[in-house]
Amino acid sequence: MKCEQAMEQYLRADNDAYLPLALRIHLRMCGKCRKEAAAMRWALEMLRKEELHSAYGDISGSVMDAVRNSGNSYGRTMPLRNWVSGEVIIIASIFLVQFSDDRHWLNNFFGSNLEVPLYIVLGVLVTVYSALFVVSRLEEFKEKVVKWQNRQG
Amino acid sequence: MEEYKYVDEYIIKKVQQGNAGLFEQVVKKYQKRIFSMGMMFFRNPDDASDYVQEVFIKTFNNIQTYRGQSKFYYWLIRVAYNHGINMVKGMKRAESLVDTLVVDGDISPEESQLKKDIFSALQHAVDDLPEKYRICIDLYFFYGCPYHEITAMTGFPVNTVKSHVFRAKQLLRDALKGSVAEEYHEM
Repeated sequence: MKCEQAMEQYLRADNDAYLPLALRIHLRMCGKCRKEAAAMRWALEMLRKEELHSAYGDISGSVMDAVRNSGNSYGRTMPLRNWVSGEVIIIASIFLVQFSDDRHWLNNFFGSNLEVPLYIVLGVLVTVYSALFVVSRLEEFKEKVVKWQNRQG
Repeated sequence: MEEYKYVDEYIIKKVQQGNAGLFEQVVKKYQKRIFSMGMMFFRNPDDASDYVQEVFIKTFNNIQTYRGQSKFYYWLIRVAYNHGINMVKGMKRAESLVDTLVVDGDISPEESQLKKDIFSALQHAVDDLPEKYRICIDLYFFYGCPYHEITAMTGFPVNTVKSHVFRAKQLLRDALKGSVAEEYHEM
């Protein structure tokens, strides 16, 4: 490969492109082209790192404030199916627990005094779970209520 | 230059999964580049600052559409370029970044001279181009965009982009011939 041909090929190469083997061999063998290519690479690197308008300060704080206020949080929300499955499991457990051996053992040990506190605990559990469900989907419920009100009005 | 812990694509994946706070790293890393693009479009720092903010908000709002098919950096530049073009429609032409280059005083006289020669070669290349093609030089030399990205952003045929960049590189090569760069920066 001639030097002029090699340098033309070098100049035609794209940013970060993989150089053809023949060209790389030529650059290894030819000191003149190697120097030219190195200088070109340095210049391109320098231009890419050039601090344009260096007087400009850091505005990442205000950008992040605006980003947070933009309303797009991309927060992870649990799918509705999982919420419903969880609720079904809790309610099924409340009904099925009375048929378990452990429940019989507890009844024999504590007597009927256990019934009220047990159902209070299970009631609190269902309430907390339902509240979490509603709070995590508040925006969705709000939209549905507004739509329903518009339909009524 | 400030060091950043994670690669862009990893950060973006985390942001897409809900870790919005990590987006700040992206903002810190690229705000100056985007500001330069803003200066190119608006030529005044206040408008350019607003532009930076709008570009990053737009990027954040559309982050779920980034599929990782190209580098995130190019995707960001594309968002910024399209936003700038939409904003300056009907206004005066965008100024090339080459017109704003200034040689920093904190470097050696040799390097300063070398930079002057490089900037003047690029200036020459830009002056030779029709106005609408000047953006190709900026996107290639200052933003490191490959040909196909410039084509995707600007809509110019890839061969047109290649020929304008090639011409600029030839001028750059002439400027560097026999300069100290050849001595100092050998492979």
